[in-house]
Amino acid sequence: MASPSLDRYDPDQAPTSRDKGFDKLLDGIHRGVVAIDRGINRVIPEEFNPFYYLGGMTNVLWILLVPTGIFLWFYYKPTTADAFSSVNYLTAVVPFGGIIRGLHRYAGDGMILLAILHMLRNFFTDRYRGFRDVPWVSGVVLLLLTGIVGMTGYLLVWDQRALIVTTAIIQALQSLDGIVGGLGSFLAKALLAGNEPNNLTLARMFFLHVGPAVLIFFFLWVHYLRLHRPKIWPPMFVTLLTIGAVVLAAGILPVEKTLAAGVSLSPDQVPIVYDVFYLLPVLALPSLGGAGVLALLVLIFGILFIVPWLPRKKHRYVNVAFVTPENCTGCQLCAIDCPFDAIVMVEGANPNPRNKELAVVNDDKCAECGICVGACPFHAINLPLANEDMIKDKVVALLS
Amino acid sequence: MTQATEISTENKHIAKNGKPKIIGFVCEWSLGRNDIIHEDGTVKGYEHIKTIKIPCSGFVKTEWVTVAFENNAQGVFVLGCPLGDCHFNEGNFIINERLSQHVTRLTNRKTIDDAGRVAELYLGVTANSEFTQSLEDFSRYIESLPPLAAPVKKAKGAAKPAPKAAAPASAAGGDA
Repeated sequence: MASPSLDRYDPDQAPTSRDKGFDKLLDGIHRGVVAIDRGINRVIPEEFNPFYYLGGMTNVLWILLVPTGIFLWFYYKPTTADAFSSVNYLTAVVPFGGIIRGLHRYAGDGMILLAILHMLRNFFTDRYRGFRDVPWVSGVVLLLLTGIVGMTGYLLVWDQRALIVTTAIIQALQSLDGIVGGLGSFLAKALLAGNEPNNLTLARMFFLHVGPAVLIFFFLWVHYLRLHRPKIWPPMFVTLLTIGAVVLAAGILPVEKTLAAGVSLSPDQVPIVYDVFYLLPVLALPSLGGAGVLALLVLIFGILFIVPWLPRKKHRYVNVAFVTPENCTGCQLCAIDCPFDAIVMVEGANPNPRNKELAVVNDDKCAECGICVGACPFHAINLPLANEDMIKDKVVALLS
Repeated sequence: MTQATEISTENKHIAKNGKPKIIGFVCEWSLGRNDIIHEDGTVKGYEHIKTIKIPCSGFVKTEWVTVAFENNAQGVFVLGCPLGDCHFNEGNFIINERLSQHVTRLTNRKTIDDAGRVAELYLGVTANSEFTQSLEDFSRYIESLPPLAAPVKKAKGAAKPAPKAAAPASAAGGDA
């Protein structure tokens, strides 16, 4: 069998060696995250640990948001005059309207919370760079879209809080005038469909609530693109836990009552409730100023977009699986077991005319895990740094 | 004559510290980065347990398990990340399936006498105490089993006389 010149599986050469500096810090955090998992695993069987299904739980909430949103849309009137009263009508009069509005609201809150946890967990367990760059970048786009959808969702109610948020957005946009003359004012005017909030404003907000939500489906597809069997849906226990938590929240805490946008703020009224997950930029506006908040957001998302390449994964493409064509029978076992869809069966490429297909490894998708090596009974696929003969010799040597 | 062969096989399957040889495949994402394992693969405090570092538990070829038993290993374990938290999404579920099939095959072929000789551990990076505890349990279990017959033809009859001799005797007693 053709084996490459690298004859030793050196642990220091392994892509996971994290001994110094920034990597050592990440390693420490990784241990902390896993220690939390271990605590949960003592209570719940490890196959059902919710921390292993944060992405799937986000998806459950997203799927929950779609039908509840369509229900709300049946009753919603996107005009400044009728929006608030139509929302009040569906909450108070329509059967289950209040519960469904609560579901939509808390599922949205939960979605952004779980998405951020999902991101942090994948960052801390070193699952964001190398072969996972596409899922990471598409995930950041999804986070951005979720933020936009959530923030415009608050505006649709058109109460006092919506007015405050709108004013904040306009203020932040107008601060762009200092950079490019007139750009901020133009964007603000485009957003409001005029200089002041008017009847067309909420139609635009409604589009900005639904349009990016449709884009989420597209980016979810990109998010799953490199996985063979993505964990889109968590186990039933975790699914029911997620939905149950949201239903419980909607039942116990009805969505707070607010005053219409037309009523001016008075000092003796109940303070307006802000959901920090979405409206943190708005809350930071008074202290940082419009330009400050925008710069901070651009900085955060800019860093998030390039973070897979910041501490570069050193040993990319060193240990990519390779096929020995003479041994390949075209049985597809490796292609079926590969979790990253990195092996394609090419018809007619096999050197042996009796065998129809040949396994070919896509280097960009290969995660260098070796699951295909364990799948192949014909010694046809191997990792260069951990050849199966080397491991077999090592087994014999350790036992002699 | 039988005694002589028995002694020679016993020497082969027992490590220097007098305990049966055990070999382990250790996923470098679970405990692989740990200081609990020496550079040469020996587990600290367990000189009879040797480990091989691998990129993922799904990398293990079931063939290597057979090779280990054919070379006088008394037990084999595979260590992966907790089920559901594989760094490569599903490597530990895959090795779980493959091993359960392979262990049945090994017991049917009489390569091993007890399915418990192959263990699967699923532990995270910080689970040091669980790791030593399960190794202790596994090692004790292997010690309680009779030494495994070496698969060489000559040794086949010689190494297994003790349990085989006891079984027919009791059966004959029952018949009588």
